[in-house]
Amino acid sequence: MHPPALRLGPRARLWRSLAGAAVVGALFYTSAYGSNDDFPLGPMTQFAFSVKGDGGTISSYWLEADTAAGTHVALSFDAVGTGMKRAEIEGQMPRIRRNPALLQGIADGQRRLHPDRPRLTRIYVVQEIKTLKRGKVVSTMRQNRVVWDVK
Amino acid sequence: MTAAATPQAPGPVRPAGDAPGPARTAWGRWWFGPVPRARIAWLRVIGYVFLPFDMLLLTSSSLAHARLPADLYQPVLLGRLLHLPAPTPWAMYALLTVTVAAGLVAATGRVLPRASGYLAACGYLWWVTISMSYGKVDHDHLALVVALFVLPSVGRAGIGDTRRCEASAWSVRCVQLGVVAAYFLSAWAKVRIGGFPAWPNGSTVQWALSRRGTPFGRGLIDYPVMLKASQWIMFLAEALSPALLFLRGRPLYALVLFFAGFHAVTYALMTIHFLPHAIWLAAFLPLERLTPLLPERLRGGTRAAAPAAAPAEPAA
Repeated sequence: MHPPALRLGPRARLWRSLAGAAVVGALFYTSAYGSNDDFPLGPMTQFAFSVKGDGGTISSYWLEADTAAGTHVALSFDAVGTGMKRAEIEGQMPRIRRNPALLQGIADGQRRLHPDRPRLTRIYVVQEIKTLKRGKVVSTMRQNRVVWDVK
Repeated sequence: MTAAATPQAPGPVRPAGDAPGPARTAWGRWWFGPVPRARIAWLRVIGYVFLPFDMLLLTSSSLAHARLPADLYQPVLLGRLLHLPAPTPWAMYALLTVTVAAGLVAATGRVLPRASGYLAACGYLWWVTISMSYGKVDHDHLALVVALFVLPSVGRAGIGDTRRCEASAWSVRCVQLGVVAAYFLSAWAKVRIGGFPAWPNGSTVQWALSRRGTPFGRGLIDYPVMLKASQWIMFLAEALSPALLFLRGRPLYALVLFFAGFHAVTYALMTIHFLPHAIWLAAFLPLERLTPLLPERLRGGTRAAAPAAAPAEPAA
């Protein structure tokens, strides 16, 4: 047989019940009315948006750059490569478009993270748009959205 | 999360003799139906061993972010409320060291289990909040943050500790709730943002595969009907996930296996692993049964289990 279970006193039980209910309540509230700003609570927005199968578009951004060595490179998609992940570039796209000077910070960050690599001289924010028809990609378009000459 | 905000120390765990009778209400049974303390010890091992892995590989962006200029730092609400400053490399290295060290101490379950556990929890919450403050918020960390805040409340626990206890039950339930909330609220967000049935009938999986599919995943791009079916399955599974909180035995384990399989497939198709979330599926399993599989000297059980017998005798 099992030994008898260890019980909690009424106060220990009360704060646990209240804490549990409060967090669940907060999760529901932020899921209904909140935004990503409420991290680590809801809403759980990852992949929650809908893309139309007919006429919908799949857009993605990434960074490319000219280097002092005369090459044109695509910057890595992860934070370790540039200090910013692709999704973070996308999340801050409206700010970057208003104020391209923010890209200077990426060039500086890149220099600090990878001092051995050639210096970046010009950074491009490249956007690719794929268009869907009946759930399939039917066309792809690419353009430079922001260009910044590194200082 | 608010559990840690409660400054009051959890009430002492009392043996059954002088405590009020067992929980009679459904609410009491559901939250506090006793669970072996060994399960807490196992969950701690999982969580605190995962912590350095997560901080160095998955949310390591906190370190990379620290090298960016402060104007790219867009703190989320929690960061603004706590006045978390823009990270600097040294501050982040210090935070990493303190959090991982506190976690390893807490993993033993012997030395200052509450203090070390809450320190690791606060340190990690700070870390992950910085990580999410650069324009992109991930939601695979909810169960991890909840677990870090509730596991310390049990106090000392070893993997050989077979005593069943209500404090452990509450902690396990909270972790389970964190897991289910992440699934269920994802379905909710899909209805709120993508719309229903627009989301399952749309092309979101196509979007994800086109952007970051593995070669295997890209192979599926040309089969829109299958992608749509997978969206329906995903949506229904998330919406029905609260069943995890009420099933028992084999049906429960089967459902846990289904979700684990879902994460494995997502990883194979688009290298999204949701590991900080997926590891907590373990909270639905009777982990204490792993202990007898270990060599005798690793169990540390006899020492912890012995006091359990003592209070039982006068009560009998």
